[in-house]
Amino acid sequence: MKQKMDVLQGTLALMILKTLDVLGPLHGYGIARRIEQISGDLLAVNQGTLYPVLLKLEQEGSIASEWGASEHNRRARFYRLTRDGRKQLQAETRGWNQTSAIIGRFFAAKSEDFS
Amino acid sequence: MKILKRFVAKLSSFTTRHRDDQRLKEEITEHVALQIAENLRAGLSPAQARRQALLKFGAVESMAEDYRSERRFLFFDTLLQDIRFALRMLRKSPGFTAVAVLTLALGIGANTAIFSVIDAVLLRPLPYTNPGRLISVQEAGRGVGNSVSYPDFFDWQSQNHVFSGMASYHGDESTLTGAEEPTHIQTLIASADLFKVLQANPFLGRTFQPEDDQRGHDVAILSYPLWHGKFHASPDIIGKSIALNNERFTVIGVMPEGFQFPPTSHRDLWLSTAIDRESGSNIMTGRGYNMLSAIARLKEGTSLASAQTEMDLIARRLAQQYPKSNKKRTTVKMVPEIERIVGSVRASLFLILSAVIGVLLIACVNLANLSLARNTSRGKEIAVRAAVGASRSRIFRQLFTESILLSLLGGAAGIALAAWGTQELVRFAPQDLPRMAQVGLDWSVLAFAALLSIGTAIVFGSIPALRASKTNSAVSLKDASQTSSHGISHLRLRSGLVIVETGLAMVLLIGAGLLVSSYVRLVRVPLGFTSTGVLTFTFDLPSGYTTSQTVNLMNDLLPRLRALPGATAAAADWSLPFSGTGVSTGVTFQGRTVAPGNTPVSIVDAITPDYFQTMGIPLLKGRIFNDADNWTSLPVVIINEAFAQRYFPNENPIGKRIQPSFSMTNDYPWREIVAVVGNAKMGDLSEDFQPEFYMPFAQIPNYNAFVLKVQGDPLTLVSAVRAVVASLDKNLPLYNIQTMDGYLSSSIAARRFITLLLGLFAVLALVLATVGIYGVMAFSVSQRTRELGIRMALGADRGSVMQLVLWQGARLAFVGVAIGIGTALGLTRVLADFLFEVRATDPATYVAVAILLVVVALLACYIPARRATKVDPLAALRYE
Repeated sequence: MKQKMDVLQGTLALMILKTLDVLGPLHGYGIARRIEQISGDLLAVNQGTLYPVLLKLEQEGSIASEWGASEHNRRARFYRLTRDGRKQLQAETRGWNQTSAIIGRFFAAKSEDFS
Repeated sequence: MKILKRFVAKLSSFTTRHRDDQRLKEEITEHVALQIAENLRAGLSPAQARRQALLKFGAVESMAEDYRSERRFLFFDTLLQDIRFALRMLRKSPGFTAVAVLTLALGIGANTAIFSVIDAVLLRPLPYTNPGRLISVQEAGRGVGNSVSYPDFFDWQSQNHVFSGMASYHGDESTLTGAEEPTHIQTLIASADLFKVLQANPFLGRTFQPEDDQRGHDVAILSYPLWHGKFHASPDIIGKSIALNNERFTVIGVMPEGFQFPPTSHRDLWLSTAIDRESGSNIMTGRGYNMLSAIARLKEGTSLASAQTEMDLIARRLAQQYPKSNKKRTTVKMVPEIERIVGSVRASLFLILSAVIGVLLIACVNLANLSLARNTSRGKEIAVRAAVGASRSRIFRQLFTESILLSLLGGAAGIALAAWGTQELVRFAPQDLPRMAQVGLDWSVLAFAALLSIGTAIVFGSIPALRASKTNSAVSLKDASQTSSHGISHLRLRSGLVIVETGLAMVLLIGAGLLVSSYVRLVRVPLGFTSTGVLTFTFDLPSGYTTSQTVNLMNDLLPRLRALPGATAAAADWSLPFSGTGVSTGVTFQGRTVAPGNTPVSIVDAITPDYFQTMGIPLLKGRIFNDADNWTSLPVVIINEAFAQRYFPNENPIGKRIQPSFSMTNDYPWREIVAVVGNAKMGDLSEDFQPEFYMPFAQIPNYNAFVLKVQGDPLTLVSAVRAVVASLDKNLPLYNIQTMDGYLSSSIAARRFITLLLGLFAVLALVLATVGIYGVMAFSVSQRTRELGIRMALGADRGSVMQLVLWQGARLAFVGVAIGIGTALGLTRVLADFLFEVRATDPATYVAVAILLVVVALLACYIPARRATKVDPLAALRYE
């Protein structure tokens, strides 16, 4: 249970970074919507889990936040990618691509490849 | 790096938590509002839009918890919260708290007190500079004592390359005159290197210099207390002369306050070996006079092992060079000085320590049991916590905090108990337990107590907390108190714990039982003499007294002592039993030759004729000395039964002649055996009777003690005795005033101390184990109320219900006893050294202890069992 959560949090963090990279500064709801649109059911429930991850990323310095006005002219907190965050995203994207390429090759391999 | 950043962020937000919570709240509100707006656009009703938005957001509280833990050191928040809650819980159940704290206080207090003794006696270094390099050096070999002669010591000193310095010393006593009234004092005659070896500096004046060992350098160094007590702490004392046994000594120095050497014995002043050189005896040249102890300082960079090799080499060389005296002295025993002091008590102290650890373990088991019972009755509370989202680890932590808190409270009470306990220990400790005066509570002891408390909490707190955190909330919520499956596995765990503590108590009781039985046997050992009603004391004659003056004084004194009201007999004695004055000497038998190195030996004694009457030693054969046995008559001797049995196995010893190599002069006359007397123990009750011979005081005028047989309490006569002695010579201070019973009692004080402590802890263990059995049985009966009610409704009578419950308890006790016996049998080797005439597997002790434990266990079960018989079947059934 705990482990699965960690994996989820890790991927969630990467998705947040990528979202901010693509769309620019966004408030929490915006990020949640975007991730929901792209990933399907990952955030269909428990959108709240987003916020601890946002805080963690902020404390690590990957993102920064400030109060701003939402489209309804309400006070909302906007998150944006920092330079560190951009670097981290690049590094993690590279790592992720490598990993998925390896795993992909592995799954594609047929039994005779191993003999 | 990331971790560091997060740490700093957490640290900074530690103070701003309120604002942070505010921010989260705003964000959630905004998020939900946006979602509602979205849902409304999608065509949902306002109520539905709101509901869907909240569902989608998920559990706010658990998210907020995650958020906060991300934000801050949640640990401290939770800790404070847990402590507050734990305190409230403990206050709410004062009975449980009191029992738990008391149990812990006993366990931790006993351990802390014993640790404070071990710390002071065994662990603390000796109070000298770099004490780890101080080595006690002793001659050794088969049948060799542990002292060394002057010539051998000089050879050690000059031939070794491993010590930076080596000093000899031996104790002496003398009468200090000239300063107010004459005082009997303890002195140490040491070679000039002593203070250099110890690296000890004087408070005033100087210590010895090499030339102080030469003739004519009669110098003395005072101890601080003597300087204060007898010389008014006058700084002018340096260079002044004092009189010891009527001889003049120049004071050259005063040692600082607290300085002691030898490390554990009190000395009033230190003299150089000049006094031995001037004594005119042949102790300086004879290799047979083994009377010295030696201490040396290892050179830097030299190991004890390499020093050992070199000293052994020197010893073997001396053995070859002087076979007559040194043949058996083929090796040298070297141990750190601290080891010489405390080596003999280590085993006893560790035995006591293991007993108190046993007690603490029992206390832990009891507490674990208590907490288990308590958690059961708190099942609902815990289930509610789990239901509202407390994780297992969260529940574990909260319960564990309670345990730690309890343990610390117990620890604090335990320290108070230990403060009192150590005082009592010091008071009751035997004289020969070294360094007891330094026992007390200091930082290291307090740190030990604190660590012990936390360790204790881990031992007793983890099982109940783990168990409670596993509770299935759904089952518990349904019915917290009566769930049968949970109850049974629970009871099994608790029964297991009871078996463990019964087993531990059994081991301790067996140990104590064996020691008590040894002690009883020891005090019942026939002494061979009557110790009751015998007063002993002594005084020194100044060196001016000639032999004939000494004999005359004795002839004057003894009749006057005998004439004191209540006194029935008086005598002078050289080797007083149990006073540590006995010596052995070689004996030659007329008409027998012995291989060299196999000389028969015997304890030597010199007595006035009434000695046997005074001590109640029976005459078996022949005649007692009388006034006709004097300086000019035929030299005679009386032997004891052991002497006769060993050296005259199938002969009548009366009339045979022996030649003891012991004399006041250089003349060793043949002595005719005139009597055989009964055996008497000389010093160690656990030892067999040793061969001993007695010479008449008139022929060998030397004594160490006077014995006076008195009707009633011997100590009432002390002032009368003082007056009698003063009437003969007012410069003779009395010392070593003691009853024979007193000597006897201190000879077994150490054994009594260990037996008493182990007995005490065993009883404590028994009490705690009994409380444990009672607790489990009471719990079990309350769990089985309904079952017992049904049984009774179906016709079981009170007797069979009582039997049922008693049997349940007895079974636990039996298993515990069996485990205890098994463990004790495995541990026999540990105890063997402490036992006397009892084997460590003594069946009688095992059976007696087993019966005791089972009976006490049954008594503990009786109360719950009786409650069980009082169960009203109707009430019990209606209860469901």
